[in-house]
This record gives sequence, C-alpha cells and structure tokens, in this order.
Amino acid sequence: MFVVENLIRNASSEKETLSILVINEGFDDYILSLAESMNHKFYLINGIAPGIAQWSLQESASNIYLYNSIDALPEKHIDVIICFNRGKTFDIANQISNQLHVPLIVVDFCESNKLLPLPLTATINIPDQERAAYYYKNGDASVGVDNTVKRSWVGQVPSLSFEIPYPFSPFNEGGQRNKILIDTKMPTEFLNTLNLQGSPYVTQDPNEAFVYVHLWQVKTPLLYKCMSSKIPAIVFDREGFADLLNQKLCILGDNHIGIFSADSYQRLVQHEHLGELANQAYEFMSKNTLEDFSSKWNNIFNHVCNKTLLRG
Amino acid sequence: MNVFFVGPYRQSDNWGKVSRSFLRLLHSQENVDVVSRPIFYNVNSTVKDIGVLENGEHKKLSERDIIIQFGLPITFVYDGTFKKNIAVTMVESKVENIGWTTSLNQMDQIIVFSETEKRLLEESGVTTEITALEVAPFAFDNSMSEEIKIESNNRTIFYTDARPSDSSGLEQTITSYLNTFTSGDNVGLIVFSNQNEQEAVQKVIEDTKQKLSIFSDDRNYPSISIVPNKNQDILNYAHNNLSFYISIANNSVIGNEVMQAFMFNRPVILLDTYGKVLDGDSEYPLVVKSNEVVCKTTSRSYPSMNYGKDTWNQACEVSLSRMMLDVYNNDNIVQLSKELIGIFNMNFDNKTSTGVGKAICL
Repeated sequence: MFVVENLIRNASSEKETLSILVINEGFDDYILSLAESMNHKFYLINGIAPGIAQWSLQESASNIYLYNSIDALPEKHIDVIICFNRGKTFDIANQISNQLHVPLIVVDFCESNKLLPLPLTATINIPDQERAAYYYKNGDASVGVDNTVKRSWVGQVPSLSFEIPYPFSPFNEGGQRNKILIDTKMPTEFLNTLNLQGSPYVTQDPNEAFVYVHLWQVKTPLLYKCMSSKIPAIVFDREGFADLLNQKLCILGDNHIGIFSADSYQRLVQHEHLGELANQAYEFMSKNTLEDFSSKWNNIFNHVCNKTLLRG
Repeated sequence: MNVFFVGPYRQSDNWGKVSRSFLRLLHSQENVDVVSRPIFYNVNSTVKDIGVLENGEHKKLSERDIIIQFGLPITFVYDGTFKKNIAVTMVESKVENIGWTTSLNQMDQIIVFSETEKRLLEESGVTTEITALEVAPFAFDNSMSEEIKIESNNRTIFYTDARPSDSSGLEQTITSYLNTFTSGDNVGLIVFSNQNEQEAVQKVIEDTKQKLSIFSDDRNYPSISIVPNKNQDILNYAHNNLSFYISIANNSVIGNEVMQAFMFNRPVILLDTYGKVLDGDSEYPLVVKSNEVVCKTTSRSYPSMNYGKDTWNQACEVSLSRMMLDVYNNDNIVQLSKELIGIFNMNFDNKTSTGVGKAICL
C-alpha cells in the first residue's frame, strides 16, 4: 500500500465504488448497516487494533472483507478510513491516515463530556489538558449519531461535522420474549459485580428479550436496535439520555443492580407503559431510513474523498 | 501536456522549499497543465498559504501524460496508467543500502540537482536515465531581521549555520579557523544555531580547542560566537552584512541557503562536490578540496543511510585553512567570486526554468 497510489486515486474523477478501511471497536452492526446500504467495499484488518476483534458477528455482507494485512487488499488504494469514538482505535486510525494520506472519518457515539464508552459506575481519570486534546481528534470529518453528540464536540474546535442518525435496523422476529436483555459486549469485570450467573431472568439473546437494560453511560448500536425492534430500553443516566427520555423513547431506571431481582422482574413484566414506550421508540427509529442513512454517508464520502488531504 | 505532481510542497523545511519552487516552475511552463497533491513526510511544519500553487489541488486528473513524484524514493511507485513516470529526489550519499535503488529503477526518468547526486545514484546501481539539472529550483526569501545587529568593525567575519553533526562540516570549519588565526587577527567566526543545539555547538568548539591544544590560554584563540537562528531573516542579515558564508557539509552541493547567500551577492566557501555551475571564463575560486572518507555518523536522516560500507567526501581541513587565509589576505579572489556569482544570478531563473522544461518532455 503506497501513499502515491492513494494520492493518484484522490485526484481521479472516476470513483464509483470506494475502498473503505474500517478500524472497528465492536460496531459490527453499524458497519453492516453501512455495507448493506451502499455498494462500496468495506475492509477490516485482523490485528490492526491489538486486543480488539475486528469482526464478531456471525452474519456479514458480501461487500465486507476481512484480511490479515493492509498489503493483502486487492485494490492498490484506500479512499477513506472510518473509526469509532476517540479512544485507542482513533489513534490507530489517525496514524494510518497520516501514513497513507487517506482521509479519516470518526463516528461519535459518545458526547464530549463522556469521551469514551464506559459501563455504569466506571470512571476514567484524564487530566484537563489531555481531555482538551480529544476535541482535536475529529479526523477530516466527524459524524455524530445524534444532534446532542454532534453538538457536544463542535463547540470547542471548528471542524467538519455531521449528524447521521442510527438507521432503523430491527432484529429478526424472535420466539418467546420473557427475559431481560443485557449487552454481550459488557466488560466481564463489570458484569461480575451484578451477580447474574445462573439468573433465569437474564439473556444476551435479543430474540428472548422483552426489555433491554442498558448498562452503558453512552448510546450504543444495541440500544438503537432494541428501539427499532420494539424492545423497550431502560437507562440509568438522566443527563446522558435526556434527549431520549424527554421524547419518552426509553425509561429511566434507578437501580441497575436491583433491577435483575425476582421482584423487579415481576414489576417489569407487569409494567403498563412498556408497550407504549416500545411503539414510540419504534416509530421514532423507523423514520431513520436506510436510504437516508446511505445518502448522507455518500455525501460525506463525496466530500472527503475528493478534497485534497491537508495535514498540520 | 498534463502533469500530475506529487511532492512535499506544503512542508516548511528544505524539501518543502525546493519542491514548491519546482512546482512553481512546472506551472510556468507553456502548454503544461498541472494537477498536484501534497505528500507529508513531516506533519509538524506545514505551509498553509501556497498562493496560486493551490490551483493545482482543485483539479482532477484528465489525461495521464506524466506523473512526477518528488521526494523520498521509498514512497515512489510506478504507475503504468501514466505515459511517463518521473522521479525527482535529493540525495547526500549512496542509496542501495536503504533500498531506494529498486524503486528508482522502476521509473522512466530521474531528475536530480547536481552531478554529484547523479554520480551517487549511478554508483548505487541506478540504471534509469538520470537528468542532472545544474541547480535546484529556488524561491528567494528577502526578509531581513531587525532583531539582530552585528558590529563587524572591519573584521573579516566567517559564518556558518552548520549543525553539530558528523557530516555538517562544523567541526572542520572550527578546526580550520582555530588553526589559521589567532586573537590578534582581525577575524571572527559566527555559528548560527538552533536554540536547542547551542550547547552542542559550544561543546564542539571547546573539544576542538582541547584537541588542537595550540594555545594554553584560550584567550589567544580567535573569537567564535554562537548566535540563535530562529528564522530565515536572521541568516539573511548575515548574508547581507558579514563576509564569507561557509557551506562545506559532506557531499554538499548548492543548496537553498547557498542560493540565498548568492542572491545577496555574498561569497560562499564551497566544497569541491558542489558541481561547478559557477564557472565562467574562470573557475570559481572559493572551493575547498575534499577527501573521500568512510561514513561514520550517529545521526541519520533515514535508517541505514550513510552506513560504514559507504564513503562520503569530507572537507580537507588543510585546504579550508588555506582558503580562509587566502580570502583574508587577497581581495582579488573575493572580487572574482562576486563576479561569477553575479553572472550565475543573472542566468539562474532562465537556467532552471529551461532545465525543468527540457527535463519533463514526453
């Protein structure tokens, strides 16, 4: 993979099918939505982010490719790099972007006051000076999954930023739904604090779930997918999810440990507003069509892939 | 003719300056349409405003006649969709050890800016046709510092901006100067140095005095001053006001700073590897002999470059000493050098423009 090939490609007019390198960090569903809505080629490289699997889902798409090395890519060029949030994988993506002279787009799921996706009760200690540096991790363009996320980043540092709502992407119809869903991606250390081993009320399979307990401090693809699937979601941070709570698209819980008890389970089963809330969330998400999602993304690609890449 | 140019023309360092000047010459050629994209070897120093050169960045490739890649051969690729692939580079030593020979041999043509560089590439096994332009393209920066004032008091002041490295010629300059003069002579030497290297420069001076051991009392040595060099305008002040610029780095040719000195009609003491572009009816007189020595250095601009199996031409201290004494005593050779520099300056723009124009034919 040579820089000059990417620069020749940038200067070329004919670019119907883009070669997109994705540095993934558990956002397989989002990548799947991108791939299913566009004809571009999405490349992921095993081992590119140490300790972070680049693809975990059973399903994939015909235009998602997993390779063991950037040099194995069949095209001699990369048109754009996509990464998620502004943590370690951003740094990796940014380094590759600078080395190979390829524009970088960062997809923000986290607001600037959260910085990184963390489970409830987790904290990170980042000095103010380092915290300020996160505002500059905006690539050549940044995409916020909602207006609140987008606006939280752009106030401090001017940058090219967009809002592209998470697309409507329901799970397949399931069987009997009588359990509480938790995210498979929750860190084990955090799950251990909840003592859920052997609980008959909990599942990690959306097809068995009648409610989703969102144990993150920020929005995630699973939250949006549950909203798209009429699985009502319970969140625990009033401020962090104010926009969803205000529109009655999810419920505010008060005890993220007690919610898994037998009593709490019974209360949830009998909750009279869950159905209404699930419908509202479904209506909300169904407005975010895949066509709109694809169109917005293609506009961004058109812009960054045809602009001369500048650095410094 | 359509030309696609890739080079570090948005960097603020020497690579940036030379590639920017080269690009400017391309834009000035008749019937040449230029599309350009910048390459960044160094993202820490970039130039935001490149004036009309930015026009090339707003264009797309149409016909693929020529691609010119300016920079480090490690990034060069041969692209068969272009009718001609030209590489432009600057080297200071042989390159086969750092893997550049293979990339260069893929190209249709190579352009360098001196016969010395052409020879180095040929000795490195490069078989592609090499065009050696007489000198690198150059854009004169005539900014003048008002921060500094150096009272010469009719002294002959030698000056250099050589860095404290094994190949810069600094040690040879200091050695020859201390060997030639005493505190009783009407001379001075100024080393213009980056802020963070001044201590290292001072160490070179002290170590050289110790090693020479000519005087037991340091006060008998001729004066050497270290002046902070923040911007080009400070060196321009030197070119405009001091006596002789010394540019004798190993394998050195006529670089950007020598050109700046010439534009102020300042005589420059050069190494005999410079390329003989100043000679007219007479030879340029301020040329120091060099000796071929084995490469030994702890600082490399590129891994494995200048390794111990290679050689480079290093200034002969005895020759430099004699040169310093000559210019101190003999005004005739100084006048001759100024005359030749004047002729060179007059012909420079035309020479470089024609040179580039001829070099990029299909």
